[in-house]
Amino acid sequence: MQLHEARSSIQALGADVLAVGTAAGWQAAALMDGSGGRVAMGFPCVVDPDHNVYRTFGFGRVRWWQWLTPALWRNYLRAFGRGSRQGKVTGDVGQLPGVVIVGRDRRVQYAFHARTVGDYPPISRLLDALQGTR
Amino acid sequence: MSAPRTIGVGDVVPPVEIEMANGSTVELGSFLQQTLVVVAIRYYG
Repeated sequence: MQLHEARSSIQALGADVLAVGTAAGWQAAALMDGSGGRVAMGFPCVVDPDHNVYRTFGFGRVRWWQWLTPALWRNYLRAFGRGSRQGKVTGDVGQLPGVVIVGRDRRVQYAFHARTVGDYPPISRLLDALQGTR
Repeated sequence: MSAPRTIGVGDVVPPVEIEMANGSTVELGSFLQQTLVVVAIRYYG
């Protein structure tokens, strides 16, 4: 949701967004077109059932004890407060998220590896990183 | 075409195969007409 809102700022810096998930293609399609009452993300959402992206960039996995940590549930509550609602869970629930910025030359310019579920860098940090690469 | 190792800042991204929502296979580089913020997220139905 935050990425959707920040997309124009990201595009103004000469970049765009690509979302990747391990879940089903229909979920990616629903995110893109905004079906089922969702807000249409507008940017491409693709699927990575073989975890190729995750392995390439070294995004980690949730350890069992992390499901018990306050940070994980704080992130859930924060997302809930922003209007996100839990739907049908598909794909790999143990996969941690992450963010990378890749230049047109295929070089990695920025990398963020989540430490727990729902752990994302602030949008301002992504915009700073994009500005730093111009 | 999966990548053999983890890469970091400054490294060149090897060919990475992903799927479009319709199930067709593409290479990550096909989205690199511009700088790309690749966000690995969890999709919920």
